[in-house]
Amino acid sequence: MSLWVDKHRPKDLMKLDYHKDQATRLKSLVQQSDFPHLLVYGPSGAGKKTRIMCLLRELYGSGAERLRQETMHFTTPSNKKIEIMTVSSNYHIEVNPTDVGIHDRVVIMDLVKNVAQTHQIDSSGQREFKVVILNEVDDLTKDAQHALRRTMEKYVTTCRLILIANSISRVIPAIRSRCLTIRVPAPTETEITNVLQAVCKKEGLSLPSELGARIAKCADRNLRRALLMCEACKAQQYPFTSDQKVPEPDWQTFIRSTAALILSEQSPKKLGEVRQKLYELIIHGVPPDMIFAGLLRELVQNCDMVMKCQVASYAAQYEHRMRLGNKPIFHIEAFVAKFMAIYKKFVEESLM
Amino acid sequence: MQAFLKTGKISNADKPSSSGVKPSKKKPPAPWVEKYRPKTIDDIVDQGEVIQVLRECLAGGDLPHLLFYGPPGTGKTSAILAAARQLFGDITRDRVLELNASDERGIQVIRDKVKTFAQMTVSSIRPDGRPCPPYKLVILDEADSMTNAAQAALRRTMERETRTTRFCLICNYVSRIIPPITSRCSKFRFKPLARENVIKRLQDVCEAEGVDVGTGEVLHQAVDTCEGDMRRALTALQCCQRLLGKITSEGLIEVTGLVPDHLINEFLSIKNYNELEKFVENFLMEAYSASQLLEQLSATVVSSGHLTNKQKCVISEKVAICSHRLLDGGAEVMQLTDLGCTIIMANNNP
Amino acid sequence: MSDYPDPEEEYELMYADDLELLREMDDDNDTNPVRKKTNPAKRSLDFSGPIAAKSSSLIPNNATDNNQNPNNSLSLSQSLQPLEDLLTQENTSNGGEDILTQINENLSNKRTAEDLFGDINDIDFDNLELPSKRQKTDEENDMDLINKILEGRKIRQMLAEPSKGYIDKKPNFDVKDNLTRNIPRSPKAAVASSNKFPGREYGYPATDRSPEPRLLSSREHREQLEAKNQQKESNELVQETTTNDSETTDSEMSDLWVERYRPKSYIDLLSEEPVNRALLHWLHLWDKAVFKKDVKTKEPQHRNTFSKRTGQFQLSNKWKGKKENEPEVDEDGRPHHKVALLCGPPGVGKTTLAHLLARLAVSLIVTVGSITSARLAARLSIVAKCEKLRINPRVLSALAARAQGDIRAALHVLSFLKARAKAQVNIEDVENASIGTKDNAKSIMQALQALFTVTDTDPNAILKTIQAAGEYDRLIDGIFENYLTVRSDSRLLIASETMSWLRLYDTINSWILRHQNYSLYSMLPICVARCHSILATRQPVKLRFPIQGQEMFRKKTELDSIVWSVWRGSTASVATTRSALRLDILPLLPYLLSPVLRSANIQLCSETERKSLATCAGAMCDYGLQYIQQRTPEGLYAFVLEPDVYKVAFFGNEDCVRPPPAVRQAIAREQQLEVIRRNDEMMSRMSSRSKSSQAATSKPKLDTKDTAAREVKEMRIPNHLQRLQPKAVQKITPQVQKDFFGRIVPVAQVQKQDAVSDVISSSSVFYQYREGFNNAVRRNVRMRDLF
Repeated sequence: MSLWVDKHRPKDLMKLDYHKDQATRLKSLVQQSDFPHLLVYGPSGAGKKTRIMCLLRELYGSGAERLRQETMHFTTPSNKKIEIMTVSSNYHIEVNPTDVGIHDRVVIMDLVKNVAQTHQIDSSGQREFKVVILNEVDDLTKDAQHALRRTMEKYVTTCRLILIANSISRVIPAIRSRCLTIRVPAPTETEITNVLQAVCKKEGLSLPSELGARIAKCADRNLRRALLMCEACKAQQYPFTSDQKVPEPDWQTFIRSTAALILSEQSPKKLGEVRQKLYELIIHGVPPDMIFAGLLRELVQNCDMVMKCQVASYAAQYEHRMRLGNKPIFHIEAFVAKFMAIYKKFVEESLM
Repeated sequence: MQAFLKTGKISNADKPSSSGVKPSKKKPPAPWVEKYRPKTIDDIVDQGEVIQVLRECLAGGDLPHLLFYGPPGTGKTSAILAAARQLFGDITRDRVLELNASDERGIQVIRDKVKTFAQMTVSSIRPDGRPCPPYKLVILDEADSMTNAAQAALRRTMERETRTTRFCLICNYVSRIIPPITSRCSKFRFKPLARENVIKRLQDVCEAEGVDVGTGEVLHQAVDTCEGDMRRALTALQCCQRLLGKITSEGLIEVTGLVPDHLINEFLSIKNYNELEKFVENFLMEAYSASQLLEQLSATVVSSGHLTNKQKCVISEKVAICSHRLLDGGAEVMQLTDLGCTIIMANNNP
Repeated sequence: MSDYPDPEEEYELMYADDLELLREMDDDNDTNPVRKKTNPAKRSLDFSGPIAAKSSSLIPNNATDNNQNPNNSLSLSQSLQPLEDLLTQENTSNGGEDILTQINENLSNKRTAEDLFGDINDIDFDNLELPSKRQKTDEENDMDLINKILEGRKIRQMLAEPSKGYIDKKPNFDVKDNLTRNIPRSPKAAVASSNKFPGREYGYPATDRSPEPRLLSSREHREQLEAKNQQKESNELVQETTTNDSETTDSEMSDLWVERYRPKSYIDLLSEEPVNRALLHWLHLWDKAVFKKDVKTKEPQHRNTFSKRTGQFQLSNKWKGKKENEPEVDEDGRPHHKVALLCGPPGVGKTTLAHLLARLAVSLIVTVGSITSARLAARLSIVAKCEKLRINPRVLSALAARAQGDIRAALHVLSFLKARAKAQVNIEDVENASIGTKDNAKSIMQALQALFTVTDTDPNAILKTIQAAGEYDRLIDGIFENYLTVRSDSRLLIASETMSWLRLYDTINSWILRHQNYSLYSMLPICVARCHSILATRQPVKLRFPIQGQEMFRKKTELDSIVWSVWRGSTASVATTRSALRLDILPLLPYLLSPVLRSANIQLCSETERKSLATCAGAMCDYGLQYIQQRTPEGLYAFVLEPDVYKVAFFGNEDCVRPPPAVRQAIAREQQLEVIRRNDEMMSRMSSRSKSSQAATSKPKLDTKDTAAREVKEMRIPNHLQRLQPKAVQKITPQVQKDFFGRIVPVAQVQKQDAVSDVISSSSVFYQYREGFNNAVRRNVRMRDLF
């Protein structure tokens, strides 16, 4: 008995719930003699990983589903020992090179080399290559991305790479052009609702369509989150009612309350309180850019058009600076301070 | 264990089907880009003067240091590889050292690898007795991504080893190469390829691969989407062929990661903030790339008929700023919102 | 955060280059022998006569000359001053004294070792080894000395921490004999035992004698003793008599504690032993050049044997950056490194260590690590005892911690407290003592204060203050934590302006770190100074020391580690990226882990309830969560979730969704069952697989079994096992392989072995198998470990 999100994960390309055309194409891709490197990208919870696992199953049969976790060790040129978690089957290995920060290049080069150098002895009826799955490629350092590009060419006979990214904006063109890019758009709310209904049916539950729609709306087109929310609803109250509370991640609520705090009063004292909240968010590991985006979305709601543009422009500018810097809290607080200053002026002027 | 595996690998690479276990192992199909790379310099499309000069150099058997620059996919690497093959024939492997950006090219490599290679003397006679040029060729592909320190280290080597070694540097932006090096090389600019030539070449390839391209409309589209970059066009065609089994315009858009035109026009005609928010969210959820959008947007804005010059200026400036921030790793949603705001303001105040 | 190296890594990265440089420099040294052949000291020290007797015994009791020397601990360095000028000087000025000649005669090779260790008499070799050591070679003596010193030191540490029970274990061990005279001329002890112990002894409680009476030292008494003590060292001190003549006798009482309690012998040193040893060894290498006697340099490959023998240090004489196979001595018999450079924060004992060295030379870099506060506290307690300062050990350790390894500062504080004439020192005194903390910590606060205060005089003054304070990061943090309160700023214009400078600072600083390019470094103080011009005020402001950032960092690390452990603990089938785990799964998981149960007793649960309980248990297994029984302070047992995902999921209001204790217990039980179930499943899967292969080999008649086997085969082993089977059919004998416990060994393993051997015989292609479900603990065993 696992979570729904794991239990009802489709295992077969043909059983995927949406993007069926793409699934067909992928299936025909597998049947060709050659299999290119893939770059699969799409927002979180769109089903990239599910599709890749289906693809592997299609390539290798169910042996690719027997997974195990291992820790691999690498040594950097500066003799620092690093270790990284891998998930692998007999046919593929999956890593998150970003886990090791700036040493990701070493991991990529060594790992791919390692895999590429172990051949399948018997390739009759089987693929003569193994698959290396790299997660979060867009967060790799430029160095690692360049290394990747060379590796892709070098070991093309014995291994294929499947790269997973949230967006290809930050993947260097050289890699993009060496891969077959596969875009996985997030499921629409209707698609999510359908999936929720199907899952509930399998579980023998009846989901009111209104509740399903509400969950889908709350989930930001993230199917993983939608399924978890749905199951959480079930754990809290069953039978479902169409107006029951949908639990959502607390950090989202927290960002909203922070925004409300900012709007409630604009003063240095309030800014100090907001800082504590921002710190909390950072501590809980909410990525700073999501904090920015969340704040922006909430803050501009009461503004007029000119001010909205102004705030959005500041947000973009400050967020960019934050990427270059080292201390997210400075930049977020600077944005809040700026917003407070603008907003206060706006309110005072509108009162006059 | 590792050594164990390694030896296994090497011997396997040398004689792939020595064991009965494996039936004759076919080479994976080469990318079309490699498969149809020009074999001689005469096959190079559309670079008249450069080829002329190269041909004369080859005829004389001598070669200056070369610096090729120009937009990607115009045949720079192909030209020097073809020239090398014509110069050295079957001993190309021994005489040519090719390094590109993905190889290690720090100052240490320049010092060790390139220097040692450059210092070796070579005879002017091939093993089979025929004459050949008495020098070696070092090709530094994508030289603009070399560090300045590495370039500086190179310059000394270039000067000292002229007798035995010729260098060929290839880059997109000649301004990224330090002046001492450019002054030591003969510079050749590769122009963007003429449209009809690209299409002709693509047609040839498609014919050779037995791919049906119908009237050739899709080829025009391929060239358009790839902005005259032959390599990108070929890669796109191949990917499309692989994924769909045929070449269609939608397929091309899909494999090249292009943003459909209707989305760009929608973005350009946004009138208020709520629309913008919705658009941005939807755009990102559909997993389109913001930087791609900016690229296409910039072209669209410039050629747009219904925007005033002032609007074009304002929007283009913001596009430039935003794509810079995106390159630095800025969040897509922020930059698109920012740009969208500018567009709204521009739309509302023509 | 992790985009670019942290300082340590940066250092590593840069280090390679430095090493190279260093080696190049070494090479240069090799080729250009330094002309220092005519060492002035060499001539004067060039004696070949054996040691007739200890010089101390020959020196007359010239206490009046010597006892006022405030810092006799410095004698070592003076003894190793270029002796030539010193001697000539003494010859002319003190010609009447015969000490000099005696010294000259008695200065021998042996002496150098004593010099190095300071007064080695304080170690117990006079009753252990002294008679025999004369016959030994000098090298052996040195080694013995070192060993003894180490031993003495060890004992002293034991004494300082009596809890170790070292003394109890060694009943015959004479504690007194091993005491060293580091502190104080404790009169009674000195008188009582001056014959036995050459002068130095701790007034230390571990010596069974009550220290109190001894500490009642009259000044005259002390002076006398001083004189006696000085005698023992007069060979060192005699040189000082010429230089320090002008000192008055009463300077003795007014000298600083820092001087008075300065370590006077090698074993008193608090600095890191390997460092001391390394320096000592290096100094020893000079013997050949200086004293014309052969120095046994260890062959490069044997260099570490000593350290192995003592079992004490790994570093023995490995200098940082020293080449492994480089001989230690150049062709002229001098050490390769001519210069030793000691560096480290103030008060860690550089000077003291240096005073144990001659000024023969300097270019090795030895970093002296901070003194651990435990050691420091032990020493402070000794000092306190001697000064009749009653002080709680807890206070002392607080003081030691506060001093951050700076014994000098700690002694100053102690002295200050004593001067306030308080017999009892409590912890508040230490906390409130403004003196004694390291000056840099203070200057940060001072600089911050200056930053927030208007200066009318010099507009550039603030910039100087900032630059003097250094540590711009701390300053920026200080500004960040205080800027909201210092000025009234209702429109938040000041706040936005300040933040814009802080942002700029952060950007520049990150750029510098990322590119390792310090050309913009001078911009940083200007950013800080700009903040001053925005924020400075005339009102007195109360500033807080910046700690928030560190606190937040600590908390973040804590939560990160929870996420990390969930991520590591989750099974492979649910493995996902960490961001997805953090943003999607963990925040919603707690809702799923609190099933609604009407009653805690699982037997009474309805079917749906049981199902939800099972789901919960399954999820916990998947994500590696566990309820662990823990004892609460009230003495009750409570089930605590481990790792505590609630902390990550919620922002402070997590308790509302935590299941009640009874439910937790039910879940914990259910989870244990689930674990067993899963294990069974895995076992059965393995055995069914072996059965299926059996079916393939022995062709059973039963149809049902056949189909079952085929089903299993289709389900479980569609890949390489299928392919390997035909080969295995001929190879494998039909009987089932069993392991040690009598379980059926999965056929996968058996076949794998066969397949591998088969492949080895037929081809050169190897397959790296990482298959199999073996419960055995796998670890690498080297062949040589087996022999």
